[in-house]
Amino acid sequence: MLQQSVWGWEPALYIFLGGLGAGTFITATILRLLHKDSNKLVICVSYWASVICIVFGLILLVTDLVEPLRGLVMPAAFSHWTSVMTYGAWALLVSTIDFGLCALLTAIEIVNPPWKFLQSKHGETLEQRFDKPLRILGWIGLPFAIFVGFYTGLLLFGAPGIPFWHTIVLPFLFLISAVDTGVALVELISVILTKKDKLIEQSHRLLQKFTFINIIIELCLIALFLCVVGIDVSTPEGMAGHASTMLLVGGDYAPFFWTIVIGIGLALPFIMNLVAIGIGRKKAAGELAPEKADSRTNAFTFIGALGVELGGCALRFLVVYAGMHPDIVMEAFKALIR
Amino acid sequence: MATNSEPLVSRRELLAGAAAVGLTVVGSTIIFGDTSAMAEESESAPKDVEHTQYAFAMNVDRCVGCEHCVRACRYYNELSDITPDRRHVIHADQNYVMVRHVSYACMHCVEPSCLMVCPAGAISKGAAGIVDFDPDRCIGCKYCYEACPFDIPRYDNVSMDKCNVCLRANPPIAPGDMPYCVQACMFGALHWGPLDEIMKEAGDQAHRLEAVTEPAGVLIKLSE
Repeated sequence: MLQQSVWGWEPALYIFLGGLGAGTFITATILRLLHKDSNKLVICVSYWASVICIVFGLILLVTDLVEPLRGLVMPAAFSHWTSVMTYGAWALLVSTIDFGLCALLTAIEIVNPPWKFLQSKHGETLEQRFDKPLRILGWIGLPFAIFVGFYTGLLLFGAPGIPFWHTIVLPFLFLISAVDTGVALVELISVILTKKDKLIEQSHRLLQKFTFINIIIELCLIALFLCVVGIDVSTPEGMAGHASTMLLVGGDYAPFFWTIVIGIGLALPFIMNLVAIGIGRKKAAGELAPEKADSRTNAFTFIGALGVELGGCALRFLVVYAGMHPDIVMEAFKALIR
Repeated sequence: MATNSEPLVSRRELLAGAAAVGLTVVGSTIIFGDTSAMAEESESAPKDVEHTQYAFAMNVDRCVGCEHCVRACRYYNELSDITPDRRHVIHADQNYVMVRHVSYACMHCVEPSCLMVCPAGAISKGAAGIVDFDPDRCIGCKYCYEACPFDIPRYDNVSMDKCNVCLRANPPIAPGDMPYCVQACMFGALHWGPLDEIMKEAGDQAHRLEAVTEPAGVLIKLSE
């Protein structure tokens, strides 16, 4: 088995940031569509965060190329439509534009600059004028964001040379993880901005529900992923997948996998979420003063969300670094001579 | 001028002339007969290199691990110092008794995954089934490395690099002709030829490598 060494921290971080940006956009857009008159600052900052994540991820992708300048000429560099990377690159470009417009419009809405061209002749507010464009941009951006989240795993799945990555479970796992990290980033933003724009109760509960559902699905998908790639040892490809799995769950990467991905990334947020819900119930029952309840909820939510980010990032890094090529020639050679 | 009493042609001259005609007829038969044989030979050789899948046959009994093939490849393809080897020689012990060797490079797969995943379309499959790359289109994303089941693509400061059967060597080798690694092998451990012919001629000594990409690489081992 030959551990892949060509894709390092840049692609791993790019895959994480792409998913994080997509997940943040999805969460912010759902919040806006459902509770549009509330959480404006949180939604605006979340949109900006999604754009920054995507753009930074793209910068990492380009700097990792042997020929970065050639890579920037997209019509030539990403013109071969049998490659998953081509679809991803163009989807990221469209997403950057869409997410960027959402960020810009929501920022203008909040800042409300006294520019003449923004003044309406019919007395409409900026919110009223931007509502439809923002909804349209949101609905256009949602499928692209879902594709980008899925694409981060599809990119690895599309490489049959690394059996550990070559399972359709991986894109679904990375999509769920992308949504999980996106929800967590919006929660982090909401805690940081709580004094300026406190998240309304409905949004708070929605994000807590998302977190629960995401964690359970992600745990199931991680288990399924490891089973699918790790069980078969009858072929060189199966042996490579098995070796990668063992590296993750019982080898050199095991401490990081169990502590960061499972412990800090999934178990901790789950527990923090439960505690936050418990505090919310006590507040509703009058057993806890509202300010104290909110302060504690924010603290637990913040810790849990941070854990999700660390776990999501570690998951990408470990999956990329654990990838191994099967040694088909050596295995066939040994089988012949022995 | 012959008189009535002397023949026009002497018996000696007649015999000499007959011998000359006879030699001419026999010689012509031999020459034309040979040409006919050559025509038959060329009919059995592949006429259409363009659409024939060629393969490397690697004889594990003959390879001594000298790596002349590796050096010939580097020399004739004028690889720079920072460009990794295109050909690799691996070693394994046979039941702890002796060490065996085999030389391999790109398998020029029938369904190359590197070609599928290249976003820039820098990899192509052409005559003789050779999988070639265009260093002027390659952006160096390294996706082909991850896609290749045989860990073949390598990178220098210009682009991806791998075996292309000496298409751009100095001097270049035409598709279907013997690349420099095969020419350099003093032990007959490497062969480049039509895949079907290799499999047919080697019979049960031929062991084609298996992967989802249908590699055109055959290990040859004498049956025990």
